[in-house]
Amino acid sequence: MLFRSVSKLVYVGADRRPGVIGSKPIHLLKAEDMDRATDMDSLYVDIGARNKEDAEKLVKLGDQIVFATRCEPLGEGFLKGKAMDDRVGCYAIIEALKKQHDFDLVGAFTVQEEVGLRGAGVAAYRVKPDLALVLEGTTAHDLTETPEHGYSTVPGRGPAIVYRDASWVGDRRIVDRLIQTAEAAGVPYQIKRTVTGGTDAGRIGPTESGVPVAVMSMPCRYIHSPVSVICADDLNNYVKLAGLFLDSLDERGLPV
Amino acid sequence: MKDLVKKLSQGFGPSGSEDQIRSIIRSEVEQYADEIRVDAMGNLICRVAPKAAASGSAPKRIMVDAHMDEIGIVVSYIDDKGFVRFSPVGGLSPHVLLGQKVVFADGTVGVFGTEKLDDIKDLKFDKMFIDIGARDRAEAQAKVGIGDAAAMVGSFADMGVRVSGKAMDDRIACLVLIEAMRRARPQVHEVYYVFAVQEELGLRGARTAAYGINPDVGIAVDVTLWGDTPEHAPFNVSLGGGAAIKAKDASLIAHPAVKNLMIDAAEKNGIPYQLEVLERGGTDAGAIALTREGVPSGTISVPCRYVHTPAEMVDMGDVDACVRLLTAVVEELASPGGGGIL
Repeated sequence: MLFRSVSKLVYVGADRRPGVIGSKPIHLLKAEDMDRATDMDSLYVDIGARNKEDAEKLVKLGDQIVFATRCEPLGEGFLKGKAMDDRVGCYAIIEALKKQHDFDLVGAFTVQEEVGLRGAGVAAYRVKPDLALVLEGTTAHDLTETPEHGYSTVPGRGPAIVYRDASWVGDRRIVDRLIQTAEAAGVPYQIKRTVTGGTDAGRIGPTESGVPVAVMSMPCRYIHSPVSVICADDLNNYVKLAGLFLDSLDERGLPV
Repeated sequence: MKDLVKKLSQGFGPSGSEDQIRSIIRSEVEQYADEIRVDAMGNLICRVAPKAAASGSAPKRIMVDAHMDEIGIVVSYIDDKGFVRFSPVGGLSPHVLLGQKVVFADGTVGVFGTEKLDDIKDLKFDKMFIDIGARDRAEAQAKVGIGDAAAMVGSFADMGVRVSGKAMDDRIACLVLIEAMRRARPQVHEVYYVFAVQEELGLRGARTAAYGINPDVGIAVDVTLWGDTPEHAPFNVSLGGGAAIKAKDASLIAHPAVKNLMIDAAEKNGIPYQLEVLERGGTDAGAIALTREGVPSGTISVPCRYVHTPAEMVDMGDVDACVRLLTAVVEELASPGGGGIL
Protein backbone atom coordinates (compact mmCIF):
# COMPACT_ATOMS: atom_id res chain seq x y z
CA MET A 1 0.00 0.00 0.00
CA LEU A 2 2.90 2.30 -0.71
CA PHE A 3 0.85 4.82 -2.63
CA ARG A 4 -0.35 6.29 0.64
CA SER A 5 3.14 6.37 1.97
CA VAL A 6 4.80 9.42 0.43
CA SER A 7 7.26 11.07 2.87
CA LYS A 8 7.03 8.27 5.44
CA LEU A 9 10.14 7.33 7.35
CA VAL A 10 11.40 3.80 6.85
CA TYR A 11 14.24 1.51 7.90
CA VAL A 12 16.12 -0.44 5.26
CA GLY A 13 17.78 -3.78 5.85
CA ALA A 14 18.75 -5.71 8.95
CA ASP A 15 20.85 -2.81 10.31
CA ARG A 16 17.85 -0.50 10.04
CA ARG A 17 19.33 2.21 7.86
CA PRO A 18 16.93 5.16 7.86
CA GLY A 19 15.25 6.25 4.65
CA VAL A 20 12.43 8.44 3.43
CA ILE A 21 9.85 7.50 0.83
CA GLY A 22 10.05 10.16 -1.86
CA SER A 23 8.11 11.09 -4.95
CA LYS A 24 7.53 14.05 -7.22
CA PRO A 25 6.60 17.15 -5.14
CA ILE A 26 3.08 18.47 -5.44
CA HIS A 27 4.35 21.58 -7.29
CA LEU A 28 5.45 19.42 -10.21
CA LEU A 29 2.37 17.18 -10.42
CA LYS A 30 0.09 17.57 -13.42
CA ALA A 31 -3.45 18.64 -12.57
CA GLU A 32 -4.91 15.28 -13.51
CA ASP A 33 -2.50 13.51 -11.17
CA MET A 34 -3.47 15.61 -8.13
CA ASP A 35 -6.48 13.49 -7.23
CA ARG A 36 -4.84 10.17 -7.94
CA ALA A 37 -2.97 8.02 -5.51
CA THR A 38 0.68 7.83 -6.48
CA ASP A 39 1.45 4.46 -7.97
CA MET A 40 4.20 2.25 -6.70
CA ASP A 41 6.46 2.84 -9.71
CA SER A 42 6.60 6.58 -8.95
CA LEU A 43 7.86 6.11 -5.41
CA TYR A 44 11.38 5.51 -4.19
CA VAL A 45 13.25 5.29 -0.91
CA ASP A 46 15.82 8.02 -0.37
CA ILE A 47 18.57 6.76 1.93
CA GLY A 48 20.64 9.91 1.69
CA ALA A 49 23.16 8.67 -0.86
CA ARG A 50 24.79 10.90 -3.46
CA ASN A 51 24.79 8.36 -6.24
CA LYS A 52 24.25 4.70 -7.13
CA GLU A 53 27.73 3.71 -6.08
CA ASP A 54 27.31 5.22 -2.61
CA ALA A 55 23.86 3.70 -2.25
CA GLU A 56 25.12 0.23 -3.10
CA LYS A 57 27.59 0.48 -0.22
CA LEU A 58 24.72 1.08 2.18
CA VAL A 59 21.94 -1.23 1.00
CA LYS A 60 21.59 -4.10 -1.42
CA LEU A 61 18.88 -5.55 -3.61
CA GLY A 62 16.52 -7.73 -1.60
CA ASP A 63 16.90 -5.77 1.63
CA GLN A 64 13.54 -5.58 3.32
CA ILE A 65 12.13 -2.21 4.31
CA VAL A 66 9.86 -1.50 7.27
CA PHE A 67 8.02 1.59 8.37
CA ALA A 68 9.72 3.55 11.13
CA THR A 69 6.51 4.41 12.97
CA ARG A 70 6.99 4.55 16.73
CA CYS A 71 4.52 2.84 18.99
CA GLU A 72 3.12 5.42 21.41
CA PRO A 73 0.00 6.26 23.38
CA LEU A 74 -2.44 8.39 21.46
CA GLY A 75 -5.03 10.67 23.02
CA GLU A 76 -7.28 9.11 25.64
CA GLY A 77 -6.71 5.39 25.86
CA PHE A 78 -5.50 4.65 22.34
CA LEU A 79 -2.20 3.44 20.93
CA LYS A 80 -0.67 4.10 17.56
CA GLY A 81 2.03 2.11 15.85
CA LYS A 82 2.96 -0.02 12.88
CA ALA A 83 2.28 -3.74 12.51
CA MET A 84 -0.51 -3.92 15.09
CA ASP A 85 -1.67 -6.57 12.61
CA ASP A 86 -0.55 -8.91 14.00
CA ARG A 87 1.87 -8.11 16.79
CA VAL A 88 -1.16 -7.72 19.06
CA GLY A 89 -1.73 -11.45 18.51
CA CYS A 90 1.93 -12.16 19.25
CA TYR A 91 1.56 -10.19 22.48
CA ALA A 92 -1.52 -12.18 23.51
CA ILE A 93 0.33 -15.46 22.93
CA ILE A 94 3.35 -14.29 24.94
CA GLU A 95 1.03 -13.46 27.84
CA ALA A 96 -0.80 -16.78 27.47
CA LEU A 97 2.42 -18.79 27.52
CA LYS A 98 3.23 -17.47 31.00
CA LYS A 99 0.59 -19.76 32.47
CA GLN A 100 0.78 -23.52 32.89
CA HIS A 101 -2.22 -25.43 31.56
CA ASP A 102 -3.41 -29.04 31.80
CA PHE A 103 -2.94 -29.45 28.04
CA ASP A 104 -0.02 -28.87 25.72
CA LEU A 105 -0.22 -25.24 24.68
CA VAL A 106 1.76 -24.54 21.53
CA GLY A 107 2.21 -20.86 20.68
CA ALA A 108 2.92 -20.52 16.99
CA PHE A 109 4.38 -17.20 15.90
CA THR A 110 4.00 -17.76 12.20
CA VAL A 111 5.77 -16.24 9.23
CA GLN A 112 4.50 -14.96 5.88
CA GLU A 113 0.79 -14.63 6.65
CA GLU A 114 0.67 -11.40 4.67
CA VAL A 115 1.88 -13.06 1.50
CA GLY A 116 -0.70 -15.85 1.56
CA LEU A 117 -1.04 -17.61 4.92
CA ARG A 118 2.14 -19.50 4.17
CA GLY A 119 3.65 -20.12 7.59
CA ALA A 120 0.55 -21.35 9.40
CA GLY A 121 -0.05 -24.36 7.17
CA VAL A 122 3.35 -25.89 7.72
CA ALA A 123 3.23 -25.05 11.44
CA ALA A 124 -0.15 -26.76 11.79
CA TYR A 125 1.15 -29.78 9.92
CA ARG A 126 4.00 -30.04 12.43
CA VAL A 127 1.91 -29.42 15.56
CA LYS A 128 -1.18 -31.42 14.50
CA PRO A 129 -3.40 -29.55 16.99
CA ASP A 130 -6.69 -30.86 18.40
CA LEU A 131 -8.00 -27.30 18.47
CA ALA A 132 -6.61 -23.98 17.29
CA LEU A 133 -7.31 -20.35 18.10
CA VAL A 134 -6.00 -17.73 15.70
CA LEU A 135 -5.25 -14.34 17.26
CA GLU A 136 -5.41 -11.67 14.58
CA GLY A 137 -5.69 -8.01 13.88
CA THR A 138 -8.60 -6.92 11.73
CA THR A 139 -10.17 -3.92 10.07
CA ALA A 140 -12.03 -1.32 12.12
CA HIS A 141 -13.61 1.04 9.71
CA ASP A 142 -15.96 2.99 11.94
CA LEU A 143 -15.14 6.32 10.34
CA THR A 144 -15.96 8.40 7.26
CA GLU A 145 -18.94 7.59 5.10
CA THR A 146 -19.12 3.83 5.56
CA PRO A 147 -22.69 2.89 6.54
CA GLU A 148 -22.80 1.24 9.94
CA HIS A 149 -23.63 -2.17 8.53
CA GLY A 150 -20.37 -1.96 6.60
CA TYR A 151 -18.22 -1.55 9.74
CA SER A 152 -16.35 -4.76 10.30
CA THR A 153 -15.52 -3.93 13.91
CA VAL A 154 -15.63 -0.87 16.16
CA PRO A 155 -12.66 0.09 18.38
CA GLY A 156 -13.57 0.26 22.06
CA ARG A 157 -16.19 -2.47 21.95
CA GLY A 158 -13.77 -5.26 22.80
CA PRO A 159 -12.06 -8.07 20.93
CA ALA A 160 -13.90 -9.29 17.84
CA ILE A 161 -14.97 -12.93 17.65
CA VAL A 162 -15.04 -14.03 14.02
CA TYR A 163 -17.72 -16.48 12.93
CA ARG A 164 -16.39 -16.75 9.39
CA ASP A 165 -14.26 -14.92 6.86
CA ALA A 166 -13.27 -15.42 3.25
CA SER A 167 -10.75 -18.11 4.17
CA TRP A 168 -12.58 -20.23 6.73
CA VAL A 169 -15.75 -20.88 8.72
CA GLY A 170 -14.99 -20.73 12.43
CA ASP A 171 -15.83 -23.90 14.32
CA ARG A 172 -19.15 -23.04 15.96
CA ARG A 173 -18.23 -24.86 19.18
CA ILE A 174 -15.12 -22.74 19.64
CA VAL A 175 -16.96 -19.55 18.71
CA ASP A 176 -19.66 -20.38 21.26
CA ARG A 177 -17.07 -21.12 23.94
CA LEU A 178 -15.40 -17.75 23.32
CA ILE A 179 -18.76 -16.00 23.64
CA GLN A 180 -19.73 -17.94 26.77
CA THR A 181 -16.33 -17.22 28.33
CA ALA A 182 -16.57 -13.49 27.60
CA GLU A 183 -20.11 -13.24 28.94
CA ALA A 184 -19.37 -15.23 32.11
CA ALA A 185 -16.41 -12.99 32.92
CA GLY A 186 -18.03 -9.74 31.82
CA VAL A 187 -15.35 -9.13 29.18
CA PRO A 188 -16.68 -6.89 26.41
CA TYR A 189 -16.59 -8.49 22.97
CA GLN A 190 -18.07 -7.92 19.54
CA ILE A 191 -18.85 -10.21 16.65
CA LYS A 192 -17.03 -9.22 13.47
CA ARG A 193 -19.70 -8.24 10.96
CA THR A 194 -18.11 -8.57 7.58
CA VAL A 195 -16.81 -11.82 6.13
CA THR A 196 -14.06 -10.37 3.96
CA GLY A 197 -10.36 -11.06 4.38
CA GLY A 198 -8.52 -14.22 5.28
CA THR A 199 -6.52 -15.43 8.25
CA ASP A 200 -4.21 -18.29 9.14
CA ALA A 201 -7.35 -20.27 10.02
CA GLY A 202 -7.69 -20.83 6.29
CA ARG A 203 -4.53 -22.94 6.38
CA ILE A 204 -4.83 -24.48 9.84
CA GLY A 205 -8.41 -25.66 9.31
CA PRO A 206 -7.78 -27.87 6.26
CA THR A 207 -4.63 -29.45 7.70
CA GLU A 208 -4.67 -33.22 7.22
CA SER A 209 -8.09 -34.50 8.34
CA GLY A 210 -9.18 -31.05 9.48
CA VAL A 211 -8.54 -28.97 12.60
CA PRO A 212 -11.32 -27.20 14.53
CA VAL A 213 -10.27 -23.57 14.52
CA ALA A 214 -11.72 -20.13 15.23
CA VAL A 215 -10.41 -16.59 15.12
CA MET A 216 -10.38 -13.74 17.59
CA SER A 217 -9.36 -10.38 16.13
CA MET A 218 -8.22 -7.06 17.46
CA PRO A 219 -9.90 -4.03 15.84
CA CYS A 220 -7.18 -1.95 14.14
CA ARG A 221 -7.97 1.32 12.39
CA TYR A 222 -5.89 2.04 9.25
CA ILE A 223 -4.72 -1.56 9.08
CA HIS A 224 -2.15 -2.25 6.34
CA SER A 225 -0.88 1.30 6.42
CA PRO A 226 2.28 2.72 8.03
CA VAL A 227 0.32 3.43 11.21
CA SER A 228 -2.56 1.69 12.94
CA VAL A 229 -4.60 2.92 15.88
CA ILE A 230 -5.96 0.56 18.50
CA CYS A 231 -7.88 1.00 21.75
CA ALA A 232 -5.87 0.07 24.87
CA ASP A 233 -8.95 -1.36 26.60
CA ASP A 234 -9.56 -3.60 23.60
CA LEU A 235 -6.01 -4.85 23.81
CA ASN A 236 -6.32 -5.67 27.52
CA ASN A 237 -9.62 -7.45 26.93
CA TYR A 238 -8.20 -9.29 23.93
CA VAL A 239 -5.35 -10.68 26.01
CA LYS A 240 -7.73 -11.38 28.89
CA LEU A 241 -10.27 -13.24 26.78
CA ALA A 242 -7.57 -15.34 25.11
CA GLY A 243 -6.32 -16.31 28.58
CA LEU A 244 -9.80 -17.04 29.93
CA PHE A 245 -10.56 -19.18 26.87
CA LEU A 246 -7.48 -21.28 27.60
CA ASP A 247 -8.50 -21.49 31.28
CA SER A 248 -11.90 -22.78 30.16
CA LEU A 249 -10.16 -25.66 28.39
CA ASP A 250 -8.67 -26.66 31.76
CA GLU A 251 -11.97 -26.30 33.55
CA ARG A 252 -14.46 -27.58 31.00
CA GLY A 253 -12.34 -29.51 28.51
CA LEU A 254 -12.12 -28.94 24.79
CA PRO A 255 -15.40 -27.90 23.16
CA VAL A 256 -14.64 -30.07 20.14
CA MET B 1 -37.26 -41.71 -5.63
CA LYS B 2 -38.85 -38.27 -6.00
CA ASP B 3 -39.93 -38.32 -2.36
CA LEU B 4 -36.30 -38.61 -1.32
CA VAL B 5 -35.29 -35.90 -3.83
CA LYS B 6 -37.82 -33.60 -2.22
CA LYS B 7 -36.67 -34.44 1.30
CA LEU B 8 -33.01 -33.84 0.45
CA SER B 9 -33.71 -30.68 -1.55
CA GLN B 10 -35.78 -29.15 1.22
CA GLY B 11 -33.26 -30.07 3.93
CA PHE B 12 -31.43 -27.16 5.58
CA GLY B 13 -27.66 -26.88 5.17
CA PRO B 14 -25.92 -23.69 4.04
CA SER B 15 -22.12 -24.10 3.90
CA GLY B 16 -20.77 -24.27 7.44
CA SER B 17 -24.19 -25.08 8.94
CA GLU B 18 -24.78 -28.62 7.70
CA ASP B 19 -26.05 -30.24 10.92
CA GLN B 20 -29.65 -30.67 9.80
CA ILE B 21 -28.99 -32.05 6.33
CA ARG B 22 -26.33 -34.34 7.79
CA SER B 23 -28.93 -35.85 10.15
CA ILE B 24 -31.36 -36.34 7.29
CA ILE B 25 -28.77 -38.10 5.13
CA ARG B 26 -27.45 -40.11 8.04
CA SER B 27 -30.88 -41.57 8.73
CA GLU B 28 -31.14 -42.56 5.06
CA VAL B 29 -27.76 -44.26 4.78
CA GLU B 30 -27.36 -45.92 8.18
CA GLN B 31 -28.89 -49.14 6.91
CA TYR B 32 -26.38 -49.43 4.03
CA ALA B 33 -23.12 -48.48 5.77
CA ASP B 34 -20.82 -50.72 7.77
CA GLU B 35 -19.33 -47.75 9.59
CA ILE B 36 -20.24 -44.08 9.80
CA ARG B 37 -18.12 -41.25 11.15
CA VAL B 38 -18.20 -37.47 11.17
CA ASP B 39 -14.81 -35.78 10.88
CA ALA B 40 -13.55 -32.53 12.42
CA MET B 41 -15.12 -30.40 9.71
CA GLY B 42 -18.45 -32.18 9.76
CA ASN B 43 -18.14 -34.43 6.71
CA LEU B 44 -20.35 -37.53 6.92
CA ILE B 45 -18.16 -40.49 5.95
CA CYS B 46 -19.83 -43.86 5.34
CA ARG B 47 -17.75 -46.97 4.76
CA VAL B 48 -19.18 -49.95 2.89
CA ALA B 49 -17.05 -53.07 3.33
CA PRO B 50 -16.42 -55.50 0.47
CA LYS B 51 -18.10 -58.89 0.43
CA ALA B 52 -14.71 -60.58 0.69
CA ALA B 53 -11.22 -59.21 1.25
CA ALA B 54 -8.91 -59.39 -1.74
CA SER B 55 -6.70 -62.45 -1.48
CA GLY B 56 -3.32 -61.67 -0.06
CA SER B 57 -3.64 -57.88 0.09
CA ALA B 58 -5.47 -55.19 2.02
CA PRO B 59 -8.57 -53.78 0.34
CA LYS B 60 -8.09 -50.55 -1.60
CA ARG B 61 -10.21 -47.52 -0.84
CA ILE B 62 -12.66 -45.94 -3.28
CA MET B 63 -13.91 -42.47 -2.31
CA VAL B 64 -17.24 -41.31 -3.71
CA ASP B 65 -18.23 -37.75 -2.82
CA ALA B 66 -21.26 -35.48 -3.05
CA HIS B 67 -21.39 -32.23 -1.13
CA MET B 68 -24.34 -31.67 1.16
CA ASP B 69 -23.96 -27.93 1.72
CA GLU B 70 -25.95 -25.37 -0.25
CA ILE B 71 -25.61 -21.70 -1.07
CA GLY B 72 -27.22 -19.19 1.28
CA ILE B 73 -26.55 -16.06 3.29
CA VAL B 74 -25.13 -15.23 6.69
CA VAL B 75 -26.25 -12.42 9.00
CA SER B 76 -23.65 -9.68 9.37
CA TYR B 77 -25.55 -6.87 11.12
CA ILE B 78 -28.92 -6.03 12.62
CA ASP B 79 -29.96 -2.38 12.63
CA ASP B 80 -32.06 -0.56 15.21
CA LYS B 81 -35.23 -1.01 13.18
CA GLY B 82 -34.68 -4.76 13.04
CA PHE B 83 -33.49 -5.04 9.44
CA VAL B 84 -30.87 -7.70 8.87
CA ARG B 85 -27.80 -7.14 6.71
CA PHE B 86 -26.08 -10.16 5.26
CA SER B 87 -23.19 -11.58 3.29
CA PRO B 88 -23.50 -14.28 0.65
CA VAL B 89 -22.47 -17.87 1.33
CA GLY B 90 -21.20 -19.38 -1.90
CA GLY B 91 -21.74 -18.06 -5.41
CA LEU B 92 -24.85 -15.93 -5.27
CA SER B 93 -26.04 -13.13 -7.52
CA PRO B 94 -27.87 -10.25 -5.80
CA HIS B 95 -30.34 -10.19 -8.68
CA VAL B 96 -31.41 -13.75 -7.94
CA LEU B 97 -32.45 -12.71 -4.43
CA LEU B 98 -35.04 -10.08 -5.35
CA GLY B 99 -38.50 -11.26 -4.38
CA GLN B 100 -37.14 -14.36 -2.68
CA LYS B 101 -37.28 -15.70 0.84
CA VAL B 102 -34.69 -17.29 3.10
CA VAL B 103 -35.16 -19.58 6.09
CA PHE B 104 -32.94 -19.94 9.15
CA ALA B 105 -32.14 -23.19 10.98
CA ASP B 106 -34.97 -22.65 13.47
CA GLY B 107 -37.55 -21.91 10.78
CA THR B 108 -37.39 -18.11 10.97
CA VAL B 109 -38.26 -16.74 7.54
CA GLY B 110 -36.98 -13.53 5.96
CA VAL B 111 -37.72 -11.69 2.73
CA PHE B 112 -35.26 -9.57 0.76
CA GLY B 113 -35.55 -5.81 0.43
CA THR B 114 -33.37 -3.19 -1.21
CA GLU B 115 -32.42 0.40 -0.58
CA LYS B 116 -33.55 2.93 -3.18
CA LEU B 117 -31.72 2.28 -6.44
CA ASP B 118 -31.48 4.65 -9.40
CA ASP B 119 -30.65 1.75 -11.67
CA ILE B 120 -31.17 -1.96 -11.11
CA LYS B 121 -27.57 -2.42 -12.22
CA ASP B 122 -26.57 -0.80 -8.91
CA LEU B 123 -27.98 -3.74 -7.01
CA LYS B 124 -25.25 -5.04 -4.72
CA PHE B 125 -25.43 -7.14 -1.57
CA ASP B 126 -24.60 -4.12 0.57
CA LYS B 127 -27.66 -2.32 -0.79
CA MET B 128 -29.87 -5.20 0.31
CA PHE B 129 -31.31 -6.37 3.61
CA ILE B 130 -33.50 -9.11 4.98
CA ASP B 131 -36.79 -8.29 6.64
CA ILE B 132 -37.72 -10.96 9.18
CA GLY B 133 -40.86 -9.15 10.24
CA ALA B 134 -39.27 -7.73 13.36
CA ARG B 135 -40.33 -4.26 14.54
CA ASP B 136 -37.03 -3.34 16.17
CA ARG B 137 -33.55 -4.59 16.92
CA ALA B 138 -34.51 -6.42 20.11
CA GLU B 139 -37.28 -8.31 18.37
CA ALA B 140 -34.91 -9.24 15.53
CA GLN B 141 -32.14 -10.29 17.89
CA ALA B 142 -34.53 -12.63 19.65
CA LYS B 143 -34.80 -14.53 16.37
CA VAL B 144 -31.41 -14.26 14.65
CA GLY B 145 -27.84 -13.39 15.57
CA ILE B 146 -24.75 -12.28 13.68
CA GLY B 147 -23.16 -15.31 12.08
CA ASP B 148 -26.43 -17.24 11.69
CA ALA B 149 -26.79 -18.74 8.24
CA ALA B 150 -29.98 -19.04 6.19
CA ALA B 151 -30.85 -21.05 3.10
CA MET B 152 -32.97 -20.04 0.13
CA VAL B 153 -36.64 -20.97 0.23
CA GLY B 154 -37.57 -22.81 -2.96
CA SER B 155 -40.54 -25.12 -3.06
CA PHE B 156 -40.26 -28.54 -4.62
CA ALA B 157 -42.14 -28.96 -7.91
CA ASP B 158 -42.82 -32.34 -9.51
CA MET B 159 -43.07 -31.60 -13.23
CA GLY B 160 -43.23 -35.20 -14.37
CA VAL B 161 -39.95 -36.28 -15.91
CA ARG B 162 -38.34 -33.20 -14.45
CA VAL B 163 -38.31 -31.72 -10.97
CA SER B 164 -37.41 -28.29 -9.65
CA GLY B 165 -36.43 -26.94 -6.26
CA LYS B 166 -33.68 -25.35 -4.24
CA ALA B 167 -30.31 -26.99 -3.51
CA MET B 168 -30.51 -29.58 -6.29
CA ASP B 169 -26.86 -28.54 -6.25
CA ASP B 170 -25.86 -30.85 -4.75
CA ARG B 171 -28.62 -32.79 -3.00
CA ILE B 172 -29.51 -34.52 -6.26
CA ALA B 173 -26.00 -35.97 -6.13
CA CYS B 174 -26.52 -36.94 -2.48
CA LEU B 175 -29.48 -38.94 -3.77
CA VAL B 176 -27.29 -40.51 -6.45
CA LEU B 177 -24.83 -41.61 -3.75
CA ILE B 178 -27.56 -42.97 -1.49
CA GLU B 179 -29.04 -45.00 -4.37
CA ALA B 180 -25.60 -46.30 -5.37
CA MET B 181 -24.95 -47.30 -1.76
CA ARG B 182 -28.18 -49.27 -1.84
CA ARG B 183 -27.45 -50.96 -5.17
CA ALA B 184 -23.70 -51.44 -5.50
CA ARG B 185 -22.14 -54.59 -4.11
CA PRO B 186 -18.38 -54.04 -3.73
CA GLN B 187 -16.55 -57.34 -4.13
CA VAL B 188 -13.05 -56.85 -2.80
CA HIS B 189 -12.42 -53.16 -2.15
CA GLU B 190 -13.87 -50.69 0.36
CA VAL B 191 -16.12 -47.85 -0.71
CA TYR B 192 -16.26 -44.60 1.27
CA TYR B 193 -19.33 -42.52 0.50
CA VAL B 194 -18.66 -38.97 1.65
CA PHE B 195 -21.32 -36.32 2.10
CA ALA B 196 -19.03 -33.33 2.23
CA VAL B 197 -19.37 -29.89 3.82
CA GLN B 198 -18.41 -26.46 2.48
CA GLU B 199 -17.96 -27.28 -1.19
CA GLU B 200 -19.53 -23.95 -2.11
CA LEU B 201 -16.80 -22.12 -0.18
CA GLY B 202 -13.98 -23.75 -2.13
CA LEU B 203 -14.04 -27.57 -1.95
CA ARG B 204 -13.09 -27.40 1.71
CA GLY B 205 -14.75 -30.47 3.21
CA ALA B 206 -13.65 -32.91 0.52
CA ARG B 207 -10.05 -31.93 1.11
CA THR B 208 -9.93 -33.01 4.76
CA ALA B 209 -12.18 -36.02 4.14
CA ALA B 210 -9.88 -37.25 1.39
CA TYR B 211 -6.84 -36.79 3.59
CA GLY B 212 -8.48 -38.88 6.31
CA ILE B 213 -9.64 -41.64 3.97
CA ASN B 214 -6.43 -41.68 1.89
CA PRO B 215 -8.28 -43.12 -1.11
CA ASP B 216 -6.79 -44.93 -4.11
CA VAL B 217 -9.36 -43.45 -6.47
CA GLY B 218 -11.87 -40.60 -6.15
CA ILE B 219 -15.20 -39.87 -7.79
CA ALA B 220 -17.24 -36.75 -7.17
CA VAL B 221 -20.88 -36.44 -8.16
CA ASP B 222 -22.06 -32.89 -8.66
CA VAL B 223 -24.39 -30.90 -10.86
CA THR B 224 -23.16 -29.21 -13.98
CA LEU B 225 -24.58 -26.41 -16.10
CA TRP B 226 -26.75 -26.68 -19.18
CA GLY B 227 -26.62 -25.44 -22.76
CA ASP B 228 -30.11 -26.17 -24.07
CA THR B 229 -32.32 -23.21 -23.15
CA PRO B 230 -33.11 -20.34 -25.54
CA GLU B 231 -30.08 -18.30 -26.63
CA HIS B 232 -27.87 -19.98 -24.05
CA ALA B 233 -24.10 -19.89 -24.37
CA PRO B 234 -22.87 -22.99 -26.21
CA PHE B 235 -22.32 -25.87 -23.80
CA ASN B 236 -22.41 -29.54 -24.71
CA VAL B 237 -24.76 -30.67 -21.93
CA SER B 238 -28.54 -30.96 -22.21
CA LEU B 239 -31.23 -31.87 -19.73
CA GLY B 240 -32.36 -35.36 -20.65
CA GLY B 241 -29.09 -36.10 -22.44
CA GLY B 242 -27.98 -38.56 -19.77
CA ALA B 243 -25.23 -38.61 -17.19
CA ALA B 244 -22.46 -36.12 -17.92
CA ILE B 245 -18.95 -37.53 -17.72
CA LYS B 246 -16.49 -34.79 -16.92
CA ALA B 247 -13.48 -34.33 -19.14
CA LYS B 248 -12.36 -31.03 -17.61
CA ASP B 249 -13.41 -28.09 -15.47
CA ALA B 250 -11.57 -25.31 -13.65
CA SER B 251 -10.63 -27.60 -10.76
CA LEU B 252 -9.78 -30.85 -12.52
CA ILE B 253 -8.74 -32.58 -15.67
CA ALA B 254 -10.35 -35.95 -15.15
CA HIS B 255 -7.81 -38.72 -14.83
CA PRO B 256 -7.95 -40.44 -18.24
CA ALA B 257 -8.27 -43.91 -16.73
CA VAL B 258 -11.19 -42.79 -14.53
CA LYS B 259 -12.90 -40.98 -17.37
CA ASN B 260 -12.49 -43.94 -19.72
CA LEU B 261 -13.77 -46.33 -17.06
CA MET B 262 -16.91 -44.19 -16.82
CA ILE B 263 -17.34 -44.14 -20.61
CA ASP B 264 -16.82 -47.89 -20.88
CA ALA B 265 -19.27 -48.57 -18.05
CA ALA B 266 -21.89 -46.38 -19.75
CA GLU B 267 -21.37 -48.06 -23.12
CA LYS B 268 -21.43 -51.57 -21.67
CA ASN B 269 -24.60 -50.99 -19.67
CA GLY B 270 -26.46 -48.92 -22.24
CA ILE B 271 -26.52 -45.86 -19.98
CA PRO B 272 -27.07 -42.56 -21.82
CA TYR B 273 -24.16 -40.19 -21.27
CA GLN B 274 -22.67 -36.97 -22.58
CA LEU B 275 -19.13 -35.66 -22.27
CA GLU B 276 -18.64 -32.42 -20.41
CA VAL B 277 -16.05 -29.64 -20.56
CA LEU B 278 -16.97 -26.90 -18.11
CA GLU B 279 -15.00 -23.68 -18.47
CA ARG B 280 -15.74 -22.24 -15.05
CA GLY B 281 -16.47 -23.92 -11.76
CA GLY B 282 -15.12 -27.03 -10.13
CA THR B 283 -16.11 -29.99 -8.03
CA ASP B 284 -14.79 -31.80 -4.99
CA ALA B 285 -12.88 -34.09 -7.37
CA GLY B 286 -10.42 -31.21 -7.80
CA ALA B 287 -9.64 -31.30 -4.07
CA ILE B 288 -9.57 -35.10 -3.87
CA ALA B 289 -7.20 -35.36 -6.84
CA LEU B 290 -4.52 -33.24 -5.12
CA THR B 291 -4.65 -35.03 -1.77
CA ARG B 292 -1.36 -36.34 -0.36
CA GLU B 293 0.57 -37.85 -3.29
CA GLY B 294 -2.34 -37.44 -5.70
CA VAL B 295 -5.48 -39.50 -6.31
CA PRO B 296 -6.79 -40.49 -9.77
CA SER B 297 -10.15 -38.73 -9.82
CA GLY B 298 -13.14 -37.99 -12.00
CA THR B 299 -16.62 -36.52 -11.82
CA ILE B 300 -20.08 -37.69 -12.82
CA SER B 301 -22.35 -34.68 -13.32
CA VAL B 302 -26.09 -34.32 -13.18
CA PRO B 303 -27.18 -31.72 -15.75
CA CYS B 304 -29.01 -28.96 -13.88
CA ARG B 305 -30.63 -25.77 -15.13
CA TYR B 306 -30.71 -22.47 -13.24
CA VAL B 307 -27.90 -23.52 -10.89
CA HIS B 308 -27.51 -21.34 -7.76
CA THR B 309 -31.10 -20.12 -7.83
CA PRO B 310 -34.00 -21.33 -5.64
CA ALA B 311 -35.49 -23.05 -8.70
CA GLU B 312 -32.87 -25.45 -9.99
CA MET B 313 -34.19 -28.11 -12.37
CA VAL B 314 -33.05 -31.65 -13.11
CA ASP B 315 -34.34 -34.48 -15.29
CA MET B 316 -35.13 -37.71 -13.43
CA GLY B 317 -33.99 -39.70 -16.48
CA ASP B 318 -30.55 -38.10 -16.10
CA VAL B 319 -30.64 -38.83 -12.37
CA ASP B 320 -31.41 -42.49 -13.11
CA ALA B 321 -28.54 -42.59 -15.62
CA CYS B 322 -26.17 -41.14 -12.99
CA VAL B 323 -27.29 -43.70 -10.39
CA ARG B 324 -26.76 -46.56 -12.82
CA LEU B 325 -23.42 -45.17 -13.98
CA LEU B 326 -22.09 -44.61 -10.47
CA THR B 327 -23.27 -48.08 -9.41
CA ALA B 328 -21.56 -49.67 -12.41
CA VAL B 329 -18.34 -47.70 -11.91
CA VAL B 330 -18.18 -48.49 -8.18
CA GLU B 331 -18.77 -52.21 -8.83
CA GLU B 332 -16.13 -52.24 -11.55
CA LEU B 333 -13.59 -50.47 -9.32
CA ALA B 334 -14.39 -52.73 -6.36
CA SER B 335 -14.02 -55.89 -8.43
CA PRO B 336 -10.82 -57.99 -8.36
CA GLY B 337 -9.76 -56.22 -11.57
CA GLY B 338 -10.07 -52.84 -9.84
CA GLY B 339 -11.44 -51.30 -13.03
CA GLY B 340 -7.89 -51.40 -14.38
CA ILE B 341 -7.00 -48.62 -11.91
CA LEU B 342 -6.67 -50.21 -8.47
